[in-house]
Amino acid sequence: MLPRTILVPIDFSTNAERALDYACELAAKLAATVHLVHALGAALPELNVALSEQMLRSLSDGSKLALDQLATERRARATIGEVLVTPGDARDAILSTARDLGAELIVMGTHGRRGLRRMVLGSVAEHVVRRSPCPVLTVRESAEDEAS
Amino acid sequence: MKRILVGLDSSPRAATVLAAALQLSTATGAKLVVYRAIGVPPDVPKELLTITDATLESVLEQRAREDLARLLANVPPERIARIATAFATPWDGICRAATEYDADLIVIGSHGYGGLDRLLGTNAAKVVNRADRNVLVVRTPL
Repeated sequence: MLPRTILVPIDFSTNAERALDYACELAAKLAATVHLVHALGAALPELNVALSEQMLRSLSDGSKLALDQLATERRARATIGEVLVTPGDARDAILSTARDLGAELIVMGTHGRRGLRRMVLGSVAEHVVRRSPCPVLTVRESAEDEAS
Repeated sequence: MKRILVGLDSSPRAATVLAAALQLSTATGAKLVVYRAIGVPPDVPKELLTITDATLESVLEQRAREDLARLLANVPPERIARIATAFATPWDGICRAATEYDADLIVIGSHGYGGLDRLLGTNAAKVVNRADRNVLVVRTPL
C-alpha cells in the first residue's frame, strides 16, 4: 500500500528542508499529503532549567511562523496537511504525532541540529527509525552541507 | 528518483520489502536493482555432497538466484534494471551495491534473519547508519 500520509519532522536544519523537499516530490507522485511537525523540545535537562509558560509560548509562536513559511513555500508542489508545533522531546513528539495522524511514512533528515557533525545518524533519527510504527525514509545530508 | 536498490534476504519478510519497493518503483518510474547478499549458510547445501565439480560459491549463488527468481515471478520485467548477488555481509554489501549501481534510494526491511528481539535489525541499523544515500526502512515485524 502506497503511503497517503507522510510526516516530515522539521528541526529547521538544512537537512530537514532537504527531507521536506524530497517528501514533497514523493507526495506529488504518490498523491499523498505532507504533514509537518516541529517539536519544541523538553527543558534542557543538562542545565536543569524548566521553560516558563511565557518562554514556551514565545518559542512556539516563532516556530509556528517559521514552519508555516516552509509549508507555504511548497504548497504549489505538493498537498500540505497539518503544520504542527508540539511541546516535548522531539523523539516522543514525532512518534506520537505519527500515530495521531495515522502517518504511513516518515521522511526525515539523518543529521539534526543536535549532536556532533561527524555522528553518522542523528540521535533523533535513529530513535525514530527504531521505534516508528510506519516505514521511515532517511534523507542523507549532502556533501556540501557536511563541508559547510 | 531513477534507481531503487532493494535488499532482499532469504527470510519470509523479503516479500513485504519487495512489495513496498515495487509500488514505489511503479509510482515514481524508478527501476529496481534487486540485491541479495549471500553468506555461507550454517547448513551446507546437500548439492555439494553429490556434485563434486561445483564450487560452493556457484551452488550458493545459483540457489540465491533461483530464490530471487521465485520472489520476482510476478514483477513486470520492465521494472527491474538488474538482479545482483554478492558474497558479502548484508549491510556492507547493500551499501557497496548502492554505490556501484548508482541507486538514489535503498529499500530494506527492518528485520530479516538474525537480530531476534531487537526493534531494528542489525543489518537495517547499519545500512541506515553507513549508507551515503537515502534509505527507506520498511517495517517487517518479527
